Amino acid sequence: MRHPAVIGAGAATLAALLAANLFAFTRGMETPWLLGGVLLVDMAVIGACIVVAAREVRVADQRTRASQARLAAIVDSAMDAIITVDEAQKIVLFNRTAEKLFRCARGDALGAPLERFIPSRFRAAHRGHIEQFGRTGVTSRRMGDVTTLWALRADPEEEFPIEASISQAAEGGKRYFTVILRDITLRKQAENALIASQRELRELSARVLEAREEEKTRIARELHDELGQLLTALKMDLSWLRERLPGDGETGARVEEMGRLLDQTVGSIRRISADLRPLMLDDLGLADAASWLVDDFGKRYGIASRIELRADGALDRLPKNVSTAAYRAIQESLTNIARHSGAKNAWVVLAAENGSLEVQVEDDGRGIEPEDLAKARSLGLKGMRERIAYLGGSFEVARAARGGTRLRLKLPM
Amino acid sequence: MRVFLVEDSRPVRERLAAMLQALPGTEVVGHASGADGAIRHILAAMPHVVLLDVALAQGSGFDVLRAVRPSAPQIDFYLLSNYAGYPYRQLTETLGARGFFDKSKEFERVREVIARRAAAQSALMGEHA
Repeated sequence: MRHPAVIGAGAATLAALLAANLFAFTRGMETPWLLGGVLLVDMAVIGACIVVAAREVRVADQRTRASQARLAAIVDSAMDAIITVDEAQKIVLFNRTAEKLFRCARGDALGAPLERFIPSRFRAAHRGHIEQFGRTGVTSRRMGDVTTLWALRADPEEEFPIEASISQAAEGGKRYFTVILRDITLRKQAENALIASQRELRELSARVLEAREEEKTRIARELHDELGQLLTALKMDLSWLRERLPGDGETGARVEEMGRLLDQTVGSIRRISADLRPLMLDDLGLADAASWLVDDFGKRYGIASRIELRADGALDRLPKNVSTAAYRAIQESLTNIARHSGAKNAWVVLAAENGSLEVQVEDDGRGIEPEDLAKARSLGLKGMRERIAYLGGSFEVARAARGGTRLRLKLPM
Repeated sequence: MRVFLVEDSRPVRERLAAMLQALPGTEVVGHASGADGAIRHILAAMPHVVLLDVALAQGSGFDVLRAVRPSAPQIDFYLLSNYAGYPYRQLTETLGARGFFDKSKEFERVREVIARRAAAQSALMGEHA
């Protein structure tokens, strides 16, 4: 219809008609038949124009209706509930999902106040929020960024958690607010299940650690005591034998060698046992065991290590799991210092005050990088974190003020 | 000189007893394997010397020291243990024992020390006689 050739032809026709009219009127009454003919043609052209215009209007009307229907279909087929209210917060649009979600037919919803779908305790606040949103002039935003929003469905009445966004638009001088929302009951349930399962896993991992610790303690004790006693008896017999054998020659040398081997075996058993579980921790308490650990670490790795105890006796009366967690944390930190830090000095502080046990381990090495904390090899750190969290404590590893790394943990006693 | 043994391992106890009995002037007057029994028997037998292990079948050598020392300070305690880390030695000293020996590596010194102690004892008895 809008083709240039058609427009050109139309313009040419109108020009020809104008010329014919001028010609016919200037000739006046001389040629009444011509005048009549021209008038007839004029009427025909005007009639044709009216017909074309009417058709155009009808087509445009159909298009508008089709586009409105399409829009309505989209709104209706949306998976989210869409509700539009006017300035008085009366509902003017209520899509099919909204019908299902709120168990309310469109006919009942339209014209009703929005408040009937909001739990009563939130109504006053909600009104304020919408009014404030209207004043901001922001076109859209997410609702309830931090807290969970709740909606109310009818028949029977039931609250459910939602996620919603609100937008505003002006039309014909009036303002309309549109809320798009979805039911997040299932997601909430999944979230809660996830939280519960995380708690269970944490508990399980703590139990596993505890069981492992108990197992290690038992093996360490048996190694140290049972095998230790038998080896002692063996050494006593060897000593008895040595006194009754000629001290020189091959036999004497062999007996000496046996003595050395036995000493080595005793040394190995004590080392293996101590690595498994510091029995001193059970026999003498955290203060002694930690002091010994720090001292032994300094000797083993040639890193000047000091321990400072800020407590009076409280360290000897700690619950077993607390003293174990503290001891293992110090041990793990010292191992990390030896492996990664390149430090020359290490400082350990054990303090018991205000009902909590505080442990600090610091070194003057190259300092831990944030990415080290995330690496898989810091499984030890993760285990430590889990153990501390399970006991209700706090745990932090960071760069120390004087360079190096500092671990700080607090445990309730 | 009367010696009491507190040791929960039978093979070790038997060898210690044999070693001590062989010393002139030394008599093993009893033994126990747990702390409670040890405390009772020591207070009843009132030996001159107690040879004490740290890890016992029940309780620890430290329990024995804590219980007996205040009421019988004249008894000499010597600890003989495989728990030989310095914190154990330190505690032993704090609790008033006369000496500490690593059971596997220093037990031969026990004989020397006890023999010397027995000689001093008999000299003392001789003076009194």
